[in-house]
Amino acid sequence: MGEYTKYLKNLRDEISPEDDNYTEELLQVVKSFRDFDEALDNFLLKKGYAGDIHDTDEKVSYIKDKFKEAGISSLPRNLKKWFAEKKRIEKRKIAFQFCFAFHLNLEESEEFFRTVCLQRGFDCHYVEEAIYYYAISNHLSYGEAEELIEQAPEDTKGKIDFNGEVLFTASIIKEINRFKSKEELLLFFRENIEQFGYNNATAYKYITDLWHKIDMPDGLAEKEKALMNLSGMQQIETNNKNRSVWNIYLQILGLDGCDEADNSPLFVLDTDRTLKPFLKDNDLLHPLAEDSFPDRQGLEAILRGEHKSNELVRKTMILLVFYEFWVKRILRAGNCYAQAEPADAERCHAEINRYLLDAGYPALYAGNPYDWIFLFAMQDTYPLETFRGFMQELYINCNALEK
Amino acid sequence: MDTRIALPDKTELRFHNAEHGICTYTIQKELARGASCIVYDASYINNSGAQKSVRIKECYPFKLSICRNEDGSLVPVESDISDFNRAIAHMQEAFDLGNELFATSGLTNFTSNTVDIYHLNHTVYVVTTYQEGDTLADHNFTSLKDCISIVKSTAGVIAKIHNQGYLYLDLKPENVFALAGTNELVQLFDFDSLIPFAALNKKSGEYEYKISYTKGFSALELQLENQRKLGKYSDVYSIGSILFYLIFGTYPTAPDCELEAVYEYGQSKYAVHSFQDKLYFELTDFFHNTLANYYLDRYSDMQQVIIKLEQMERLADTTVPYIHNSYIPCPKFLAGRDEEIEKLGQWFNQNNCNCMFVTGIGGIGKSSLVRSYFAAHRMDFDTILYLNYYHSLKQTITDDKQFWINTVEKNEQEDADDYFRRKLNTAKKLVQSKNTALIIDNFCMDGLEGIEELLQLNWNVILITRSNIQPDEYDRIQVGAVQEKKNLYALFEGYLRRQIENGEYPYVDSIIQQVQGHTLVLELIAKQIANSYLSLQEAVRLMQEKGFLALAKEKVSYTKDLSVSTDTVKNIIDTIFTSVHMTEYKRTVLKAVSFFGTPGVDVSLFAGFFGLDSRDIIHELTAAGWLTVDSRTLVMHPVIMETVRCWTPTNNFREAACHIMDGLCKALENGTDPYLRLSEEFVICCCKEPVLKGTEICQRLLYMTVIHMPRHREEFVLENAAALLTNSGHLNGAEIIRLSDLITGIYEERRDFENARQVLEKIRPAIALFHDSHITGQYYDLWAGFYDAKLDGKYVPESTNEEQIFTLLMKSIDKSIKYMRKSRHTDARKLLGEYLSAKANILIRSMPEKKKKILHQLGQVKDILEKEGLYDSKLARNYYLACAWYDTYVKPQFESAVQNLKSAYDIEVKEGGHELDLIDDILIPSANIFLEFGECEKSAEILKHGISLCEDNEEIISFVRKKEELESYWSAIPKLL
Repeated sequence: MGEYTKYLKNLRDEISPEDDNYTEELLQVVKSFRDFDEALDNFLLKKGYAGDIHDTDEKVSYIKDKFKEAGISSLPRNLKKWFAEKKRIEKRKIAFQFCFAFHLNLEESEEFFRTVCLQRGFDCHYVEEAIYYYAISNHLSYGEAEELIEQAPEDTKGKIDFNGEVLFTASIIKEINRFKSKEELLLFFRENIEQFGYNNATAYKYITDLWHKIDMPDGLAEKEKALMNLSGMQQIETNNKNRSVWNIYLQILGLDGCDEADNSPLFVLDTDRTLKPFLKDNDLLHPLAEDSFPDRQGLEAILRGEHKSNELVRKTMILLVFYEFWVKRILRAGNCYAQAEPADAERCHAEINRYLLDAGYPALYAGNPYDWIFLFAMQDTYPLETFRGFMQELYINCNALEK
Repeated sequence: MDTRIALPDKTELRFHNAEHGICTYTIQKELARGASCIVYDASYINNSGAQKSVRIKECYPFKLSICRNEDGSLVPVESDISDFNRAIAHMQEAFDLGNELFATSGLTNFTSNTVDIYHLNHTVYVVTTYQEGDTLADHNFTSLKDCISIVKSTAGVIAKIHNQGYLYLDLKPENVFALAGTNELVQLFDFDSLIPFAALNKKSGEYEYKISYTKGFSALELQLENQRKLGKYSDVYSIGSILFYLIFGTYPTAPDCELEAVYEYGQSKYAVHSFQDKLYFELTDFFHNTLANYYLDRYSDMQQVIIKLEQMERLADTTVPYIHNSYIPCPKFLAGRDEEIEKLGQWFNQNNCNCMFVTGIGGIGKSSLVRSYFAAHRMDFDTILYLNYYHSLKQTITDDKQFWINTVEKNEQEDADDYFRRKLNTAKKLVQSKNTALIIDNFCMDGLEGIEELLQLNWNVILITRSNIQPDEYDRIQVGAVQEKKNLYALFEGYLRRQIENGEYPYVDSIIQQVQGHTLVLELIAKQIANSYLSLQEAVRLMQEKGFLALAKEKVSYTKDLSVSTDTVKNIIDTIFTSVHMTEYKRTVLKAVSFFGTPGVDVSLFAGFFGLDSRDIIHELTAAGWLTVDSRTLVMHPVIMETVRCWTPTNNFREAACHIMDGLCKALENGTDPYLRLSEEFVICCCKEPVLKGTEICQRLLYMTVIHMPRHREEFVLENAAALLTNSGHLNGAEIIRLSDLITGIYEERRDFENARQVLEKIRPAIALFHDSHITGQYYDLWAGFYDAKLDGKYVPESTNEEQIFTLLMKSIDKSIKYMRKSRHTDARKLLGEYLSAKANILIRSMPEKKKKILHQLGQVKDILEKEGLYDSKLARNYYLACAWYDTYVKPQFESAVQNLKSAYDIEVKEGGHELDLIDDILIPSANIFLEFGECEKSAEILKHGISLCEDNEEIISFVRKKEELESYWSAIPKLL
């Protein structure tokens, strides 16, 4: 574990919702995440950069040389901004060019995406990325990869139809690993092009199944609500078997509380069933965590099989696995106030990681501001409460700012 | 892109052995490619001249740029030379390790037999002996047991490798070679992925092993390449995933590795086969403990894995006889049974007796209780059999559909008793543990034959029965109504599908009370209310009017024996309390008992009224759970009662009912207690049966019941007396007068003169038909009473209306006296005395100046008293009261008045009349008289006494009314204001 990751881990162990200066501590956490330039500096040093790490021009020059050596003619235009304005690599193609330029193998490429770009690695449900995967695993050059991309059929972003035949990412990777020649690879694309263009098939299936377990009439959300009523935590009508996605979503986030006196909502969201306004520019939420924060619209789109960003899909899956894990424990204990068992944090961590890896996403990473929220919550004695407390803190902070 | 060039077929490889001899192998064909090698099928000629097959692995890493020269040699590019050399060294090490393992005792048969390693073509070749078989990835298993056996063998090999200090890590079906013809032997042939335990603690820089894994079969820590978290449990995961793969045809995914993952065995390759339930539980447990994402949740070593696999292997063996477990669904709702559940648990833990009766009436929740216990404690038992009783114990046991032993079935020629014994013998051999439970539901006490043989199995036998009588030597749990209200509320709410509002609890309480907390009926009532959109208030009203069976016509859903159906509540309850197999005699007795209501009837009284020859029938019905005997009282549960009452009456029942009613009429003539209550219950039921309602005896008993009913039962009297008067064909004149007197008295008390008048008008034609002055006299007396009440004490009329009423009153009295003088009836004189006394009373208050006329009336009364000897009669009491009034208004003399009041009071007390009569006839007049004499305190004291009598009966409406009346008098006493 790197020093940076260790530092962030320590932060999450030291902070408690009970602390008097909890809000300040969270603000400190937000400031602690390294920017893209720092992550990139670290990467360059690891890869043998020997110049002045504070000299942007020298670093830009070094990167350009690496690109040229690898035969990558189209250099990224905003290279300097990465360092000067801490802009992130937005186009995945550039990130892949980095992998070719620095001769990263598969594992190193995945690591680069996870810890530097804070993105998922190869998404082999796109022809282009499947070719990069094949090229990097077979030591092909960037030029050869581009040639293959030109020859391969184009995919178009579409909807997943789980009623039809779905080719999951793992199966594609298995196939690609089997091919002994470029021709075999191209033939595979041509024969299965309808299976490309939609991505995250595994993740979509997992999210759909998880949501079904949560929202069905006698599902986890309903059972938790009943338990809350029983424990006197809330007094909300539970007989409504057809609760909306928004309603359940608010429950998961802990934003469905009501005033005991008049049953009016404690968290008033004057918006069209979206959290965006109170997440936006919230000091307590790092911009990277705010980006593609799971929302109702995104979840509904995923449930309909519509294309959504990797980031949103990954974040949604983390949220749902986290909720499923802890709510099951609460229900098993029959007590909303049940404490987590000593190894539960590691169990939860393992379970989320398992889902992420299965779906081709990077494992939880303390340096990812969104992941940190969950890693922080799961180490607490009351993980679900802590997570919900954090969300409520965001709400309160937003309202405080407005006033 | 794999650019490697394989050696052409028929290439000869001439290897040098350690002793510089030459071994020649001929390549037959390329077999497969791995990341580090190409594998060939090859052969050599042995010393006998025969061609022998071998397999040859050539070190030829895919990732490196290596050219093959025409002579077959491999030449890496400059930059890959060192990597190629490392790969060669690694293959050499793997060969040495393979040899070492092969030479290790216990592993020889489980690792491929490597012949030798040879250097040629600038690389190395490993030659292994050819074995017939294929890898688990390609092998088709015919049974689940074979899958488990082969995985057990694999786990055994991995355990030995662990014992040698290595982790295998890249364990997958492709790496396990199943030898043809056996499931006991597998061979591992790829040792590239092995790393020693000692390497795990090294820092990454010092670490010389490359961790290799295959995603679908590798533990999470392996996929994350978390070296420090690798351990034996990492291989445990792979073993679990291989079994998963062999069963489901796919490797486990994230949801399959959750802590409480559920597996769809119905989707497995072996779903068409039947296995013991326990196998599925064990498989699930195995997967939970091998596939867990968190490494410490897995079995810590391979020995635990093997033990579990051995258990499952036995359970998966379909050639071994086993008892098929029953499926026991968990009831949707069970509350308030903690005590009974605890008792069951205690019985299992410390039972000296292995037979337990669970008793209670139908629908009370016996089966739900037992099912719920087993649903929660399923895992505590090796075998659970839940059978439904069918004709007899023996037939139930020999029913192969319910009690299935996979290798046992009845021979066509086999006698039922023989099969019973044979089946039990087999069962005994199969399961000797006490962890076996046999439950027989709806058990009938008639079918105990065979119980001793059954109990000799030493299983835990639970017999669920409605019967109240069990042999003393067995244990018993009596299941009654759920006691705690909150549990019944919860049950009710559950089926009502909404919460009970605050103001509705009294209605729910009323429903609960009416069915004595019977769980099934409460469930059905709640469903009926929900389905018929009734309010709880409406429901209570309808229940009181029609009973719960006829609450509404809409059907409700009902689950019984796993099937859900919809029907009317009546039909559902009828099904539960079916009487199809019951004799008519029993049905007649039951129906007769049901007519005596919830408090029940004394056994002897019933026997007498019904005319039972023997009381055995009572024992039989009690034993079958239809009745209970509580301190000599025959009691029937209200739910059974309502059901039985609905049975269609037969001729036998009609006769029995008439016999009982006749007995009750006679009994009532001799005293009311306890016959009045019995009569009331019985006759009301009879009145609801069309075949009985119109019978003379039914009318007679109803009349007898009405006239004996205490005054405070006004509603009963009004309703039934009016009914009798409407159909008065069986009534004589005196009876009509008696009933009319009762009705008008109540209406007058209520100041409802219109209804009172209508009654009197209504009976006028019937009275006229009798042409009897005794009856007519009484009839006019009723009118006199009516006008007297209407006048309300205003004997000195102040208005025209009052004058008219007074006139009608006097005319009525005179007519009653006139007709009664003509009567020769035995009590005519007494009645005449009463009428005369009444007239005297009125004259005293309205015309006290007519002293002579008054004294004439009183003299006639006194004469009757003396001649008839009626000194302690009501007439005498009224006479003394009239005298007291005379002493007050006509010729005021306080002492004489008090003396007369005392005489009247003494007679009233002696007669033991109703308290309301005492108040009306003695206390109120006395208070009035004392007040007239200015004795306010005494007057108040008397009224207070009356008020306290009312307060003792404040639950009765007529006393409440009387109390209000007395209080109004009391407050009117001047000195107390």
